[in-house]
Amino acid sequence: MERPDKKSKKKRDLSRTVEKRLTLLTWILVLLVWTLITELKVVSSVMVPTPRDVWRTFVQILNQGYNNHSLWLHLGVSFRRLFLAFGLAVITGIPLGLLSGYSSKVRAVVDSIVQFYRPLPPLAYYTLLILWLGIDDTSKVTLLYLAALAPIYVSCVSAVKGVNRNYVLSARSLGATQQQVFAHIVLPACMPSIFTGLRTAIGVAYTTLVASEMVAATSGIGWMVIDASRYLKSNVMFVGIILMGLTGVFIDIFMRLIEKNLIHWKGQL
Amino acid sequence: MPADCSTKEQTTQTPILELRNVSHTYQARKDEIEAIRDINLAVFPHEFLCVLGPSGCGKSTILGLLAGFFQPAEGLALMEGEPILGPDRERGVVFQAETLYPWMNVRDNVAFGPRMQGVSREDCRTISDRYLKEMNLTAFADKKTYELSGGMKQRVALARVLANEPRVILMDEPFGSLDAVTRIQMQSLVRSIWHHEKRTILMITHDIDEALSLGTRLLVMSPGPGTIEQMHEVTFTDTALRSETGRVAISQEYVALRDEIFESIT
Ligand SMILES: Nc1ncnc2c1ncn2[C@@H]1O[C@H](COP(=O)(O)OP(=O)(O)O)[C@@H](O)[C@H]1O
Ligand SMILES: [Mg+2]
Repeated sequence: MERPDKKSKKKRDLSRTVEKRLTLLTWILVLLVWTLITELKVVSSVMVPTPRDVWRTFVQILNQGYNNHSLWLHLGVSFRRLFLAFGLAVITGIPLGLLSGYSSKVRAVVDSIVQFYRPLPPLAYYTLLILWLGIDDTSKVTLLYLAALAPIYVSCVSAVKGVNRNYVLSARSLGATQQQVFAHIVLPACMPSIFTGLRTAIGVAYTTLVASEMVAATSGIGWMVIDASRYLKSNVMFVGIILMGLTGVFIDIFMRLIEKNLIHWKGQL
Repeated sequence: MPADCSTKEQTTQTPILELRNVSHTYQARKDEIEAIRDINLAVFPHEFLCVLGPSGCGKSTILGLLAGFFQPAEGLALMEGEPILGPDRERGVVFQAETLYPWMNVRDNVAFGPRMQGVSREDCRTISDRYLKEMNLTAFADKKTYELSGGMKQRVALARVLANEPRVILMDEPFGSLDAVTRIQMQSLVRSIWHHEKRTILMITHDIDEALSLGTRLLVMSPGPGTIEQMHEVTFTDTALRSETGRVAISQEYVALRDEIFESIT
């Protein structure tokens, strides 16, 4: 029984390394094309800076900061906004979503509101939030909070609705009370899809963060990019954009790591 | 056949479970589906009652009513004379589909019932040890449930129900998805537990041989809407308990009854 398992695992590992190599190759190719077209002056350096220039700018910003603020401060400001909003969305969105999944009455109240604002582009109501809460961090955190709340809420509702009925019935037949069924059956059964919701939420919040800093801010990594664009400093823009991309990837890797360790049964339901 | 489909001696006993003139209709989108009509049935202490019938004749409906998963549209579902209002620990259920909780390991699945009743950690361990041993699962105690084979999963499901010490065990085609050999092994296991622990079991099956070789009493159903057509008292399971191989002796009487039931179902 074990042998075919191991074999297929080996095969999977092998194809995984092949795919890893393909990914690596893709990036080497991107870097190569970038170097070629910039070093050979196919495009002007104002439009696309050379990789060397971008690296030099990165080191410079790292050492001297940008606009009197260190790079760490820009990143710190951005992540404070992001994680504050995400944390708030988690601690309110999960209970609200679970409750909504359980009770059709709660759902009747909350669902329509969430469904109304969810498809709106966050920047559309950001202007209102600025009007109400001012231009500083409060309006930004609120914006990110709302952006992250919707996917968490929606995933919780559908998670509760999707719980295998037989899990609940068998637990009741084993003598579990309603509260015990919730704590020991419904909650863990919902975990995989809640976590998918959390990953979506942090992704949405992150893109919203960068956009909001582009509208109104004096610090933050998104602001750095938009400020640089005013002075046509494409090398700084490149540094900012690459940093944002990398941090986004790292956040997702981090979330997946937690998920893998916390929810080993994912895909087994 | 007496009204509640019991034997002469049983009519003087008090049943543990009872359905009295039960009919049940499901509300499908537009039309109504009459699943069972005017069912009378009783489960008596220490018997192994098999409910046999083709797919769609309402067997799972009967089990659901007895377990308390839903209430009858008409008639009464009773446990020791009291209406059954919902599922509880007195009626353990083994489902056809897998219902092990994948977020718990095998041991925690087995100890789930006692743990919910507030039994101490050490006692839960003793209980789970005992039933894991009985089901030959000791070596798998710390495994994840999704690492087990189909037969092992059903053994865990059975251990989980046994560990909770219900008054009656209800099984809905528990071995329907197992291969032939595993199925026969599981049947022997269930037979020996029923015999040695004096459990009361109601098993639903569409397999005539399974019903004949395990049951002490058989109810044969026919579909459209589901009704109970025949009752048979059988003792073939005793021959298996006596035999060294642990299998029933296929006698002429066995073959004759099997044919009779087969005729009536088809
Ligand atoms: N939840 C339900 N909604 C509508 N119809 C149902 C439902 N459950 C069962 N039925 C119908 O009731 C009849 C009996 O079903 P069931 O009790 O599951 O039969 P069995 O277990 O013998 O296969 C079938 O015709 C089935 O289609
Ligand atoms: Mg069925």
